[in-house]
Amino acid sequence: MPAVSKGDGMRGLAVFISDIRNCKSKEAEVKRINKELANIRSKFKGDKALDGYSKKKYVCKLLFIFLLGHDIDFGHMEAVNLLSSNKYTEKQIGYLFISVLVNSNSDLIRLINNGIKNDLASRNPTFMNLALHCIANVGSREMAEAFASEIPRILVAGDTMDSVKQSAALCLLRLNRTSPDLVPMGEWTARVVHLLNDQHLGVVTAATSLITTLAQKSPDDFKTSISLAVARLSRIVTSASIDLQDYTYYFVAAPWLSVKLLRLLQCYPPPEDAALRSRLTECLETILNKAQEPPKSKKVQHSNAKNAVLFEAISLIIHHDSEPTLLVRACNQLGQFLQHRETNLRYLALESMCTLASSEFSHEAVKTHIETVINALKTERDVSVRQRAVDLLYAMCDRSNAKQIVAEMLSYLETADYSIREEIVLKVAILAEKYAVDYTWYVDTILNLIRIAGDYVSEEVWYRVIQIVINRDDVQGYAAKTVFEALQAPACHENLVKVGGYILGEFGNLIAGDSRSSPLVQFNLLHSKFHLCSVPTRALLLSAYIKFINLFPEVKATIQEVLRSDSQLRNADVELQQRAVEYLRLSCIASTDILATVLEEMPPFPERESSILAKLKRKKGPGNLPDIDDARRNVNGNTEHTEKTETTNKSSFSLVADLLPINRPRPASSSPIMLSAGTMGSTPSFTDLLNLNSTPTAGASLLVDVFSDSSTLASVEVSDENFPRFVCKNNGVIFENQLLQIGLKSEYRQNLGRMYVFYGNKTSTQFLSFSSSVTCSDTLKNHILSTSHLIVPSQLLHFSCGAQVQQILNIECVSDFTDAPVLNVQFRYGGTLQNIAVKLPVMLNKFFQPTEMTSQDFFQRWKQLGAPQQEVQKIFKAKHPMDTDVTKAKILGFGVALLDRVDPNAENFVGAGVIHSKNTQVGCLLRL
Amino acid sequence: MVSLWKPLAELSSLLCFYSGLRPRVAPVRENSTDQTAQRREGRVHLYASLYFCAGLEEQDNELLALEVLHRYVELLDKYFGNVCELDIIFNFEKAYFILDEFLMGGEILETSKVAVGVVMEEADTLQETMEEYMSKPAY
Repeated sequence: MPAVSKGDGMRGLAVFISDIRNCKSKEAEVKRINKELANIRSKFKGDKALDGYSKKKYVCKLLFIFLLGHDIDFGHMEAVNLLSSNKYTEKQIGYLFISVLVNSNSDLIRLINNGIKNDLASRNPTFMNLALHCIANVGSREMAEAFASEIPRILVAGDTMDSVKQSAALCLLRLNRTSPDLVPMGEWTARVVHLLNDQHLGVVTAATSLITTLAQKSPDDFKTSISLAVARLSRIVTSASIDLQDYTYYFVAAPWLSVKLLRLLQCYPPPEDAALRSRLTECLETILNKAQEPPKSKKVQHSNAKNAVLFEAISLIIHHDSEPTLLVRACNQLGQFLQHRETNLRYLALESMCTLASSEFSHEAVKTHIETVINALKTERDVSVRQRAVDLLYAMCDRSNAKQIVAEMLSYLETADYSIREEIVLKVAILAEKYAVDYTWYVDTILNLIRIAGDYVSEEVWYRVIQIVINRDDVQGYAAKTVFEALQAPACHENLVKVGGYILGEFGNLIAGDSRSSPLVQFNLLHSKFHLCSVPTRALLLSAYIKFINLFPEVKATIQEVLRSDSQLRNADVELQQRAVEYLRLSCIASTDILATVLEEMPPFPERESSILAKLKRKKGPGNLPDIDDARRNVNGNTEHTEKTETTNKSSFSLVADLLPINRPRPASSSPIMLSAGTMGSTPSFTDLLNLNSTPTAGASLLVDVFSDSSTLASVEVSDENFPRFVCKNNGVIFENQLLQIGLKSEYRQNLGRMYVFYGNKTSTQFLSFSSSVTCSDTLKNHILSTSHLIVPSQLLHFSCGAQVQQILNIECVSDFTDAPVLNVQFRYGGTLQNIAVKLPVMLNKFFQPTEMTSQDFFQRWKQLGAPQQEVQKIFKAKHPMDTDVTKAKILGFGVALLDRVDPNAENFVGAGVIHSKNTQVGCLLRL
Repeated sequence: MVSLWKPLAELSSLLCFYSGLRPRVAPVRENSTDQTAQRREGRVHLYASLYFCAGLEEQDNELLALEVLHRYVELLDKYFGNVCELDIIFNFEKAYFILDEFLMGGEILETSKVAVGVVMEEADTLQETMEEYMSKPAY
């Protein structure tokens, strides 16, 4: 047992710990602990009141036992008692026990809060600090409720000691994180900002942490902190290394504070004030310059601290993305790190460069390092570094280097770690598609992917190659030839069989002229793989066979023979059996013409964002994927593959929901039944889903595919796909694509309405020259008045990542109308002008005022409205079973009052309302 | 928690402080996103037989997180005089107190070694004298 070096120790505790350490076995240890627990329990229960020291000692022992991994179910009360002790150490142990062991135990929390309250009021800084620590460590809601208003007062009070201020700032930060709703903003916020000017650097550090978090939530309230932070930063970076005394860490001036200040500045766009901006630029330049200076110490702490500041400065430069010279310098600096002997630096440099690659100013500079990065991929020993290298290659890829990068990634894939293979596959697939000039290259690349890492090729990837081949005539023959050759390999991956089966089924005829790939050879080749494949693949192959019957009448007999065999017709799998039976019948009874119609070539898929990209985004989490999609050119037809032949009945719902571009008009050419002819009858859920396209108000929001609207990006086609969802509700998302989300919140009263439009920037860069306007068609203008004004126009011009701005539209209904106004949004993103037009859901029914009336009244009025033009009746088939509650909610959302027990038929819904316009008021009755 | 504290009792100490969580012994998720920490193996013996583990949020500065650990070791060194695992096992509460003076709710509270040292000295003077200590019962 080592001698206790300082202060007091608790001998009993030390003896106990020694005993535990001397235990030879697990059993002995448990026995010793149980003995101790029994001892403590009897001591706590004993008649003799324990003195403070004993209580402290036993509580400490309990804590140690807890830390060894045993449950502690008593002693909490004794710990709480220690809080009211006058002895510092006893109080300290009490608080420690509570911090580590107590969670929101409601019985005790009031007692604990009481102890904390006394200590906060004690004006003894040591006690106050203990109490603040406890609040920060537990951070429960009850504590936030009790102290959230007290702590800001302590923080900004003039007579508070520095150390207490520090604790109070961080304590408040913690409460703000756990229960933000309970921490009131108030007049203290303005005074907190001035703590950045405090003389005590410790106070400044703690305050900066707090302000950064608060500023992320409400940037406007803390705008004044920018200039103070820049001034502070400037003083630090220009100070001689000894000026800051204790706050100099291995010859680096206040690295923690510097990093925090730089992080605070990342909550804001570049300062608008020119002087401030140049001062900040100077600071950043100084930091970059210092990186070039010879190190003042050989210790790793020196270089770590220095580079920590440097990396944070580079993050800020990237965040501002406005100073080309700084960006290029940052890039060059990172380039040096790429070859540094410290693995950490290489790792971080690769990571930062990923974000630099997405800036138009530094993209070219990043590209110059391609050889180094490729080399890193081959030589780095640590997988996490190699992963970053892959990320960077992906981020720096463009048309000029795509072939090289894809080739390198493919060759790396052969030896890549299993953990990152799938991601690399996705990346290669995306790059190959995005930068394909020559689609034969694309097809080759994907087939290579399947060959090298077939297990890691997800469905999305091979769906995609099929979509592209189907949409592009020029590549179909080549694709057929290539898959045919690839299938010759004795062992090929099942994914290749799927792609091969599909493509040959569609385009096998294009290579059938060659005797080496005659129809029969093709069929035999596919069928030779059949028995090795899983059920879904076999189902796909069966569909390919029936397509063969249409393409090549000469193999009809052979294929019918195969379908007729017991292994097909009596297959245990119901899906396979059904396909075999149906295809066989189809091939026997249908005339050539009918066969040709039913088994027609797949129509092109409508364009849509690659689902591979969506998958990669999901995998990497939002914000992690360098945004390289700015100038997307969707030259490829790219919709999800809607008719997946291997979709079985049971799984079809989720899969189809995933694949179908719901809420979009179906392509007109989709009527042929295509490959899945045999399954149509047996997949009711499938056909149901198709109908969803025509039932816009009916709960389709559940199935909204957020990626379905990317094709409106470049065009100014008016987006109204979400429009119908607003018939019965006033709030929600009206438009969303990769860049921008537009949300609406609207209120209507009589003939007046107000609509709040929220624009959210989803990207990591800012939008330039953002503007929006509302246009109404000429006829509409006479009926509706709308005025708009922006709430924060200055911010709108350049609004940055993750930011949201609000616009208010005032609407007045002059007389009845049917059309809807259009909201036009324009902004620059990544150099291209984006135009978005959204139909605003301003409809006549929004101006309904619900009216209550009795049954008698209702029917009296109902009969009065007998004239033909006064009544509209429409019978429509319910697409969904009628759910009373849902229907009620819909009717209420529609704007009329729902009248209960008015109609004699309980199944009928009755509503009444008055439409208000400036000129007239029109009563309206409704029965459903 | 058990699995992590277990080796502590047997061979070394391990303290975890999660950014935003209270400092305590806590499990580390296996797929930790803290890349730097994963690659610190070579660095571990630098701190004698002490193991440290820090959970980072995405935007945290990783290099500086290493220096947080280093500064903590320095503080322990200063207090215990070349800290070793036994110091932490037998004075685990002190290790907590020092950590509390240095970090709070996962954020840096005081980066000055001198300032933390002063606080710890002050705290010790508030304790009982050695004489009092020797007169206490051992059980």
